[in-house]
Amino acid sequence: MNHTELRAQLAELHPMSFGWALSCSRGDHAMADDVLQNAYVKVLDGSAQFSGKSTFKTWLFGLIRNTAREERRRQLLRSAGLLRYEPPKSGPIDPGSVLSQKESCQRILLALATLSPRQREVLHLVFYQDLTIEQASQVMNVSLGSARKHYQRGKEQLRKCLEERSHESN
Amino acid sequence: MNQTEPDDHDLAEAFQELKAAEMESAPAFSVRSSRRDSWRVGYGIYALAVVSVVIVLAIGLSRDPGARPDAIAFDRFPEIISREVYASTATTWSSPTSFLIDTELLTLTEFDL
Repeated sequence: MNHTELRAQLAELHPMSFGWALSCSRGDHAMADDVLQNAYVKVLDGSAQFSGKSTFKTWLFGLIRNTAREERRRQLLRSAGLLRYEPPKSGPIDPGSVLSQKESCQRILLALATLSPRQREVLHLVFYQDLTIEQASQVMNVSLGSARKHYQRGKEQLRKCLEERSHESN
Repeated sequence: MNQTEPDDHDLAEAFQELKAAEMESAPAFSVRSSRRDSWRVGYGIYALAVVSVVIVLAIGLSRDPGARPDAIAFDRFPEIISREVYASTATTWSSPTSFLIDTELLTLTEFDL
C-alpha cells in the first residue's frame, strides 16, 4: 500500500478509529485525538507497517490500542516529573458536549466504567465496531478463548449494571 | 458480521446510541506530524537517565563486597614501616614496666634495707 492509499484508508476509517481511540482513552477526547494522531503518523512514516496478515481495520485498531497504552505510560511519567509537560494541541474537552450526552449514553458509559479493561475492549469491538470475537482477540492480542471469556463475563456484568441503574432511576 | 446473539439486542442498541453520539463529536480527519518529534526528545532524556542508572548499578554489582583488600606490601614502604617494628611480635615485646613483676631482681637484702 502506498502513502496515498494508506491515507485514504485512514480517512475512511477515521470516525470508527476515533470511537475506538476514545474507548482506549477512557472517554478523554484530547487524549483520544493525540493517540489517533500518533497512530496515523506511525502508519504514514512507515514505523508501523501493515503486513496483510489481518484486515487493515484490525491491524489499525491494534496499533491504536498500543499507542494509547504508550500515551498512558507517558502521562504517568509526566505526572512523575520524568517527562516535560507538553500542553495538548487539541482543544480541551468541551464540558457542554459531555453534559449534553443523552441519558442513555451516560448510562452505558457509567456501566462500562465498572468493567475490567479487557471486558470493556471486547464489548466495544464487537458491539460498537461490529468485529467478530476472533478479530477482537487479534486487536487485543489475546487468545480467542480468552476473548470469549472476557466477552461473556463482560456482557453479564454490563447487563447487571444497566439493570441496577434502571431500577435506581425508576 | 458480528457475533452478537439475539438476546443481546438491548446491549447492541445501547452501543449503537453511544456510537451515533460519539460519531457526531468526532473531529475531521487530519494528520499532524510535529508532536511525535518532541516526544522523541523527551524519551531520549528518559532513556539516557535509565542507561546511566544501569551503568552505575552494573559497576556497583560487579564489585565483590566480600573481597579482602590487598595485603600491604611492607617491602615497598621501608621508609614508613620499618622491618624491625614489623618483626616485633608478642613473644619479643615487653612492657616498660615489666621489670616490676620480674621477681628474680628482688632479693631479700633489698627489702632488709
